[in-house]
Amino acid sequence: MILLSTPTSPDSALMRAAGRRLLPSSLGSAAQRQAFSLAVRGRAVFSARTTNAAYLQAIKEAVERAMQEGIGNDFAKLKLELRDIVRALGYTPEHGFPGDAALGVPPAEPGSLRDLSSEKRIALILHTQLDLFDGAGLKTSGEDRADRFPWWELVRQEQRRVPRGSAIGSLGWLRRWHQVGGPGRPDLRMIAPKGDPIWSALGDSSNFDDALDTDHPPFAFNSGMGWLEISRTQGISLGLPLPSVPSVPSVPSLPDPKSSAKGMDAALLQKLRSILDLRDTGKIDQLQYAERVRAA
Amino acid sequence: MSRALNITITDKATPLLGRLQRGLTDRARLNRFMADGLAVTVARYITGNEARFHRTAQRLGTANFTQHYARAARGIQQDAGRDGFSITLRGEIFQRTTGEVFVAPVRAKWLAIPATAAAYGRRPGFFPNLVFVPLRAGLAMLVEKQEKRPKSPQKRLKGVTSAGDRPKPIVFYWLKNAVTLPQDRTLLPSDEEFSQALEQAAEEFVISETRESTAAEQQEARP
Repeated sequence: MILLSTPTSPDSALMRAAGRRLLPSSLGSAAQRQAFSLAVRGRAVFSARTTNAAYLQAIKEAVERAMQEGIGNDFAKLKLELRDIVRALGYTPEHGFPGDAALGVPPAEPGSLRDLSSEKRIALILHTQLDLFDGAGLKTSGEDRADRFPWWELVRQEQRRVPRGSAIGSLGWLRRWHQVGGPGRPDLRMIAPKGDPIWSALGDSSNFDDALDTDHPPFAFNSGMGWLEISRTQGISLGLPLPSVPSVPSVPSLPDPKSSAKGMDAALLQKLRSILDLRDTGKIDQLQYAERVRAA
Repeated sequence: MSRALNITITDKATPLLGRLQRGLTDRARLNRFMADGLAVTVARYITGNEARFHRTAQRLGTANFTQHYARAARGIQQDAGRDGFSITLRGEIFQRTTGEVFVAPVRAKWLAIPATAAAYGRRPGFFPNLVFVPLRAGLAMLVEKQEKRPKSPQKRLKGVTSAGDRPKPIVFYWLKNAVTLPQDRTLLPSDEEFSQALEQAAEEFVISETRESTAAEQQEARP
């Protein structure tokens, strides 16, 4: 029996999303990577220079809704809602959230990626979060069948107006592939065994500034790249050597959350705690929007 | 003269047959191969055809596609058991493969269909200056509010009004009560491609059984 249908229950990615914590930060992305451990970042909803816990909570909820899909959970609507929320929280690109000046958050050019209320920025946050969950889910399911589908192929899954590598100074994916030692092929396809170190090297921010420190797609912000699986039969016909050691389903892609708020502003930490406490006790769902704003 | 022929039957050839027979009786493992093979085939097909699927974006001339199809390719789920297998695709758009799909607004009066590249992937609320223009029953449009162009000094003196004074409105969205999307079987691989994928999965199943049977024999043969 073959059944093609739309999902009726939340998938595993959604469950991971629900388990995500939120962590505000006034640091830029590069500084963030240094300041917090990968374990924390792996489970946290981050947004560079976002100091407002209520807004991060709103992002988290938007990501969960985007995963559920269905009526009212489309990207276009979620983008609008987040824009309205960030504005209602008193954010302006020039001054940030109320109190940001004291935290040293610099002003942003309106409409730019640094402007938290810009469509560009909101779309980037939503897409990155969803792509990370999708990638982690694919990695997990793909490793379960590594004996039959031993390789991943890196392919473009989303079209880009200006793909990486087309602008001067930009590093395309094939060049990245070769730079981290990816096996070369005459047909230029980027194929490597599941579990190969090349996958973590591609997503390593010490190799590429825009990398997300993951060993699965999207590897970098707004990459549009994804994985397809290659079966043993297909691989052999492509002349691929069978991996000597089958990749073992290993560490979960999204590790358990660990709390680390070292160096965080005390007042900000208190706000964050109150939000997290409310969420953990399930009360956050009962809060009215205005109360959430007050809590922040 | 009669001769006695002694035949000793060993189990060197039959373990594989026995294993295959068991595998075809309890088909859970075979079905898992089928489901995985199908999921991988569908993912590859959708990824390879993503640009073609975005017909509205292509028509409007925007390269910023929504992510429906890419996400669908990444999020295929499969399930297999003794009785069969299934794959689940994310995105209601794939219902179009089995027949036409009737779409009506929920919690809203109109469906907004983008009419310009700027409107694609955005809701009307994104644009503050849109004006509702009814056309006929079940059809309206949202156009960008535009100021009248100032008259030229000569026309102002003469008091002349012409159609040129009013700029042509730019339609951002067509509004409809409902739409019926036609069936589109090409959103998924063809029946032949499905058959090929299933055949390949069956082949991989036999190869895998052979490999594992051989490995088991070698293990037993070890002193």
